[in-house]
Amino acid sequence: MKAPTTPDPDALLAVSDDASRGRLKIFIGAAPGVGKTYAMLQAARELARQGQPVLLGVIESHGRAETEALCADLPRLPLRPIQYRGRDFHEFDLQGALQQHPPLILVDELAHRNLPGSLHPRRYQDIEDLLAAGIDVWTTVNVQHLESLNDHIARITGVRMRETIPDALVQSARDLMLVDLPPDQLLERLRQGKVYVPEQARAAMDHFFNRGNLTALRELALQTVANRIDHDVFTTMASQGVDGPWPVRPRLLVLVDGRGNDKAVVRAAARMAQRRRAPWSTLWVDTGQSPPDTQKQNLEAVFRLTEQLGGDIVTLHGHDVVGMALNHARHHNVTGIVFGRSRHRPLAGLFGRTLSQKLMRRGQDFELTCIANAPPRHRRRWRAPGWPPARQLWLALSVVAASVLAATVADHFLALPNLSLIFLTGVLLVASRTGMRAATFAAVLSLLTYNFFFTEPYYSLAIYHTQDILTVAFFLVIALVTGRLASRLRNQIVNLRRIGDHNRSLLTLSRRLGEATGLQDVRREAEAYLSREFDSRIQVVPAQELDRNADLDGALRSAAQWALESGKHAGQGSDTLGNLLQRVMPLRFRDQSFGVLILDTRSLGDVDAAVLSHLETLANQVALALWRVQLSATLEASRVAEETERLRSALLSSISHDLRTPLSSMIGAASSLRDQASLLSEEHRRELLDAILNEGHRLNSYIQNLLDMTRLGHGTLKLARDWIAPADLIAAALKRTAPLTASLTLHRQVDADLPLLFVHPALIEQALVNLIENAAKFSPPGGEITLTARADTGRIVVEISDQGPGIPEHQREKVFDMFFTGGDGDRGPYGSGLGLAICRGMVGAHGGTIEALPPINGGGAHIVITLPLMEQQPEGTSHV
Amino acid sequence: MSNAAGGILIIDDEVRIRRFLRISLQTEGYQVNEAATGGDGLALARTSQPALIVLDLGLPDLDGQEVLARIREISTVPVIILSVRDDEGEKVRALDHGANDYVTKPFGVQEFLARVRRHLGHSNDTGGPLNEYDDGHLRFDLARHQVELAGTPVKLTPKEFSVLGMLIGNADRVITQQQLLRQVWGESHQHDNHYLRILIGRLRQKLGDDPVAPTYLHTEPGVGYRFEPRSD
Repeated sequence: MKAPTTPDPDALLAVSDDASRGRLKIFIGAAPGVGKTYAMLQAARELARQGQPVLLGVIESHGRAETEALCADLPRLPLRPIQYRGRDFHEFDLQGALQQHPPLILVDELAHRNLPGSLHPRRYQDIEDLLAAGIDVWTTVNVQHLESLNDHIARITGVRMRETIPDALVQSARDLMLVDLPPDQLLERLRQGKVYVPEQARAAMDHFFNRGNLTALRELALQTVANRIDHDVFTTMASQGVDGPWPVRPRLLVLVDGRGNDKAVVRAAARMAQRRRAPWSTLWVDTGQSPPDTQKQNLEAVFRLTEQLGGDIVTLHGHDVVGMALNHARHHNVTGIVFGRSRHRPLAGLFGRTLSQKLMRRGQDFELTCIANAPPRHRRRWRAPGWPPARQLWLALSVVAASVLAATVADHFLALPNLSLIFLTGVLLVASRTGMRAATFAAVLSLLTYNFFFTEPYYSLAIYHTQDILTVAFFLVIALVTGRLASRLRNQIVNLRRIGDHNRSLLTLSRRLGEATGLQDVRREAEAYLSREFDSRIQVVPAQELDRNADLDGALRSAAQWALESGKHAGQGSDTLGNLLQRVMPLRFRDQSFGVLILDTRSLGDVDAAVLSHLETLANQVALALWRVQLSATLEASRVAEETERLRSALLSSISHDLRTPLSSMIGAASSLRDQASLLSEEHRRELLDAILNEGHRLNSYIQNLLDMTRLGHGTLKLARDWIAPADLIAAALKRTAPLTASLTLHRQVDADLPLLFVHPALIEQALVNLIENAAKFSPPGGEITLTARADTGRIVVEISDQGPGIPEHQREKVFDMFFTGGDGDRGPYGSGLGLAICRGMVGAHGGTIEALPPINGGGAHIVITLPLMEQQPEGTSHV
Repeated sequence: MSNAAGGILIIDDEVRIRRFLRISLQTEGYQVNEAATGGDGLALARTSQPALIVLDLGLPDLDGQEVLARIREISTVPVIILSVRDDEGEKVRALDHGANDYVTKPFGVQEFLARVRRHLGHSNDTGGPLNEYDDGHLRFDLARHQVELAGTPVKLTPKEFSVLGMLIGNADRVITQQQLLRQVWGESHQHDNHYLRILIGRLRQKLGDDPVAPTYLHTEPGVGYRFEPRSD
């Protein structure tokens, strides 16, 4: 229940949706010939006269001059030529209209059926696309085409309309314009030949156009428009939070089983629901008996009809249809249950076991509506239950044969009635392994053989003793009852197992997808898993890859594109490009499409509702995973962007600081030397000259670092590896840093006979130079620097430590970040924050590691480099 | 010290580098000729008969390596290459094609003058490689095939002896790895650098040279080796 003044969010949404969608105006009439197209064109001309742009998408003038005259000098969209069975036709050009994107387009004949080869089979789907693209559409329709009125109309006129349109579309229309003409005038027009009737339908039409029919249709058209006005009032009230007389939204539930005339039941329920403004659902309880194909197709059609009429679809698994349905109804605020009359089952009716009887007995708290079968319906012919599969027959036969053998043996020491138990056991066995039909077959066969072999007279089917007659009768009853029980049990188990399988596959898939970290991971996992699960090729195409996926040919690509944009199914068996061999499902989460799933149906034969609903459940998981991956990619991208920005500004400030500082002292010292030459003491001159020299070296090493960093950062660094002794590298590095370490004490412990490294010598040398420079910079005057090198398993370990201030624990990882300078504002003596980052880059490029460790015996910084040794040291030492 | 017949020819397009070199060299008493392009440099090399050429590898008109090759066609005059540090490949190529030494930019004037002195000295002294060496600690005699360390004979394998001989014979000069490999192991082994690494390691051991701070045998990573005579 909602608070009195809270607006219903659904109603609000419905109203606000209008903003982005195009607005639909329908000119509705009772029958052909009332002048819908004429009225629409007149209204359009009026609009055009006011200077508003109007585009004629398609106008079915049927050659009438007065209609054609109205079209004159209005801009017209060229029709799309299409070849069908070798002849040329013209259809409405949906693509052209979407490209032109006019504010308003006129598309006549809402119920029109497009020729095969068009994007959609029906024109109303074209119109839905136009509306979705934000284009206003005007169209025309006769009331007889409304889906929910289909049965009704057929009853009135005796003609069943094949071209029905979903009621939901009419309900979503912004305006309904009733074009009314009294029946007498229409009949007059018809006599004058002013109404277009296709040649082949003339006979039917003549029958159709009589006064009674026309009056009834006129009433229906008026009612439809009146209902609509009612609906508008309701929506307005709900969206404005007016507390109407509807404290609880009642819900209707339709029970279907795919056997009776479920479509009629669904249509009736939809009408009831619309009148009551109630949401409704269609419920099918899957009892686990694999239904025959016709039943599957019926169910499929019923589900599609439900969607068109705006209902939900619910599938439950279980044996007790009535129990499951009532349970669902109680938990979902259902007030009324609609069902069709059960199959004609006189025996079941006798025992109160038909669906209707059970519902009425157990569902007393609901409003129950039983819909009679619709009139133009073929009388169901009685069909003999088919033979069970050969495998089951063989099982029954061999079990009965075994029973005969066992009974022959047991005959010597058991009483006759007990022998029947052997046969009963056999029947039970067959029933538990197969189904009802095979069990009955086994029961009858057992009965006959029992009678033939074991009752007097032997080897005859005749029965002498009353007692035997009784035995035989009981036999039959018990066999049938136990057989039925056993087969039901089996069905339940099969059913449970199937539910279990579904749940397990759902779990497995979601676990695997949960582990996937990237788009390609998700795609690979999903494709591999689903293809195996459904034993068919399944492709997952993320939205962003749709354009570059080369596997998709023209029609399939259009289907995928459409499914992605509309969020509906396309391809095989659907309303869009239904002649494809693949079914395309959008992968949706939170009303957004993240890609499509393409199911190749070639290896599956027919795709039934159960498979699709299972696949759809799994597809939801894939959509969820795609959403998650995309979200994390977006986060990552913004993180990288932020990081790049941070580095950029760090680089700029580093350049301005680290280039300018040495330059200013050089310029200062040099100008002082030139301008004050005569005044300077020898000592001061020397100091200034040293400053110029040192700052020059510093500048040089900074530029070297920048260059190295650029090479590392661009991945253009090519390793020119060579065999080299670690001692040689250390020697070269020490030599280059000799001026810096001159005033310090250097302890070297380089093990003799270290294995050769296979590295780019200059890069590792540079890394060592940077480390020694750092150690020297931070050392107190006269401090000690310790450098050790030793071989470990499969690697060389070089450690450098100093007696400086050291690196605080929380910065030991950060010091290797670019431009990290230990956080003190004046980085003057400590360099640019590039040295260690470059060390890590160069060592890392060789597969080595570098890290800062806690200080040893109270010292300062302690850096450790490891470099991997080649698994094989070079051969050929004998050549030396 | 200066040689009137042949001064020092500087081939470099950077006017500031040329000025710095000219001032330093003239201060030391050398006569200096300058060329800003490879073409001018080659012409001057033919006409002025320099005693030493300082050649920058990056020239506007001709590739420095090309200039070096053409100089070598007409003369055996010592050539010192000026190069940037990152280009070991260029240095090795130049040394392999007859350059006598290289200096890495940026460099100090002392380092540069030391090289100049060394090469002028060599070409003035014997004009050929050294066959004997004795600093009182290490004694090397090519003709007798003898090596002594503090008076004690050192046993060297023939290859070790050849490498040491070649390095001592070109003392103070960098000999590239390829030159050593080609000379000692032969053409087919000139890329087996690890032979040389191992051999030098052993040689240092036998001569009592610390690999991390060697006295005699110095490694120029990525380029080659150099024998440095002990200066007392």
